[in-house]
Amino acid sequence: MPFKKIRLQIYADENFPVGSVRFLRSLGISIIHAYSMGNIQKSDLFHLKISKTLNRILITRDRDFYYNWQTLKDHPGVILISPGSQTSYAINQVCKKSFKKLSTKIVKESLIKISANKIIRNKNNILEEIKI
Amino acid sequence: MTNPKFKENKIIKGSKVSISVLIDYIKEGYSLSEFLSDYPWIKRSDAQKALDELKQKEYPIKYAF
Repeated sequence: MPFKKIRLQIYADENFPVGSVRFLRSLGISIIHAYSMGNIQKSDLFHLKISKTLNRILITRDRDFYYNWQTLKDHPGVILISPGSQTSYAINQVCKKSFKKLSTKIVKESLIKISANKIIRNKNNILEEIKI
Repeated sequence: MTNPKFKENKIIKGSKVSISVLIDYIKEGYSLSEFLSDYPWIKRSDAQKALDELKQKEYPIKYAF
């Protein structure tokens, strides 16, 4: 069965592997990597601001990613991928499994934490689990 | 911004990529070249240096290999 087209517009920070960007593009996702814009060794706040300007969801693999609810106000949202392994292959598998559960509306102004078997949506400290 | 919880998680020079990412690649049988193709802005010499430093420390070696 063909993979359902996912209509997410994403900006990946430098902690996200370039190989996974290529993989997500193959799924029909519109994604720009920080590297292609020369945004290497920039702060988390910088990536938050640029993704907001581009009106794209920020995707990171950085468990230490800095944010607060003020920075997420009117932001398209942040996706934090946290697979068991940090290789691009593991990230690709988690994304493939979970992204069909996401939409622009679900992610907006939220921090979405995706692990190997669950999605946790945090919006203004209200947690919601989305089953994969 | 660095969370104190992850302060010990060192990064590879010239990037914000943690050494633990490189460890995962090596641990799972990927080559250094495969790691570098995912993070093309990291210099091979910097990644190799990070690996060499790890090999000199006993505890990460036990964890990584």
